[in-house]
Amino acid sequence: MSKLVSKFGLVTVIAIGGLVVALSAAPSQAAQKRAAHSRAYDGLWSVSIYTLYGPCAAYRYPARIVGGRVVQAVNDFSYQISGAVAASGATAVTVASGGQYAVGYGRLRGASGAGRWSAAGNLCSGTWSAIRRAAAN
Amino acid sequence: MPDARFWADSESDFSRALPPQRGPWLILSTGGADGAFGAGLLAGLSAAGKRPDYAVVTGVSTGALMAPFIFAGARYDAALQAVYTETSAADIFEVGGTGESFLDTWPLRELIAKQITPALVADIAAAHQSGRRLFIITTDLDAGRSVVWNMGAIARHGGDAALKLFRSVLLASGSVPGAFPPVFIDVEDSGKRFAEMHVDGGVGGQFFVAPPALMASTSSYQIAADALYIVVNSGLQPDFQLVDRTTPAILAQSVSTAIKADLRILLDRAYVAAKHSGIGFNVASIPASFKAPSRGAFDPDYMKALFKVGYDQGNSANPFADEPPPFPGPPASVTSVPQPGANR
Repeated sequence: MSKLVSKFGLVTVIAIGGLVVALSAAPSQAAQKRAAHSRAYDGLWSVSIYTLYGPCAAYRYPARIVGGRVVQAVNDFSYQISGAVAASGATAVTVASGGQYAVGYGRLRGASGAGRWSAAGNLCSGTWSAIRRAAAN
Repeated sequence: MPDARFWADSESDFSRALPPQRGPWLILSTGGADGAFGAGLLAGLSAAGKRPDYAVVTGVSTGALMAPFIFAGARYDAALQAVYTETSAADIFEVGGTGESFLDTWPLRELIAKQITPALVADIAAAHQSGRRLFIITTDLDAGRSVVWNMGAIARHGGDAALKLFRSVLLASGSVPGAFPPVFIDVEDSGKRFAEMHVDGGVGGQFFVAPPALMASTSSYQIAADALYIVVNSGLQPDFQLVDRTTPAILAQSVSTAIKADLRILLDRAYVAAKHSGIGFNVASIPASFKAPSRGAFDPDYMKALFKVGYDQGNSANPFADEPPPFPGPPASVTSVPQPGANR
């Protein structure tokens, strides 16, 4: 019990520090507009983060895709997630917390996806993978 | 499911559940990712040829998660090593509140389902049949009491219901309240069915040897073992760090500090009980020299390093100490107690 609780503190530390997860770089407005018309990837997703460089913790985050837009899946105000998915599956997501943010690039295919991410200032970087846990209602 | 469990404070039920033959007992403590130490230690003991078939294995929290592999024998060492060196936080939890906790443990539930196979459970049933015992501890939060699950008896029952219960008990034993959601276990009493809320067994103590009344300093109870081997998946020295002024950080450091104090008391009790039982006392804990950095909960690189420390200790000439580690002095960086007046 002990270490999990003590290490759990780091979850929040990391989240508040903004070294949070990202699926891809912030998309252009045009890309977001195009993506908004794609519903092929709508549903509840779970994104696993892996840190390849830097001291950042790596965790798993939920995300919901609605009408091609990436939004918060749960009422957790320690981080904000936003972005878009194009019809091709190309994703563009930014995760922000405490005035800092992380971005990444990647692609969804069917019920899974993968890509790369980096935190602001290139303090940390790594890869991500995603699975769809539930289709849109 | 008969004989599946008993209250951890029931002396008669505990005595009835014990093996018919004496033998060495292995006690596995809480510790989260630091369970990598215990997993490595047991693998090192295997490599050194110093690992007996323990007559009793008890596990709490991360100790519960490793206990089935250890109880089933050294042929599961590779699987145990993989769990404690290749698992990351993403395999344990997902960030985001559930209404019952800050995190969701559906990944851990899936990991347990993958690792606790019907074949493993069958091996545990066979070991139970031979007279050995595997006890896992959870906390029944409604009752405010610890529960000992007789996992061999559950395994011996067989079938999907037993497999499901076996896995649920392991998940419950490691479900740190607040961080992880509780696990609801369906039970039946006097013809009525209901769901009990179970959380981490560490709420009732960081490891389990016997009911608290039997372990009391005033008790004359004789532990029915040849020797006691306690694996503490934690360091026992203070861990100095400036605590962030956030609720989770304050809670985390407070709980961590309280757990170390609890471990010290439990170790002291176990030592006294072993001495007046006339049996050997053996304890292994994470050495104070281990200082590998961790990038957060369940950092695989940290866990790999800790597994190696445990393995090397298990494979050494003296894997266990024969008395509780001495109380440490103040950290080297602090030579005197700061006095009031300075701003933080």
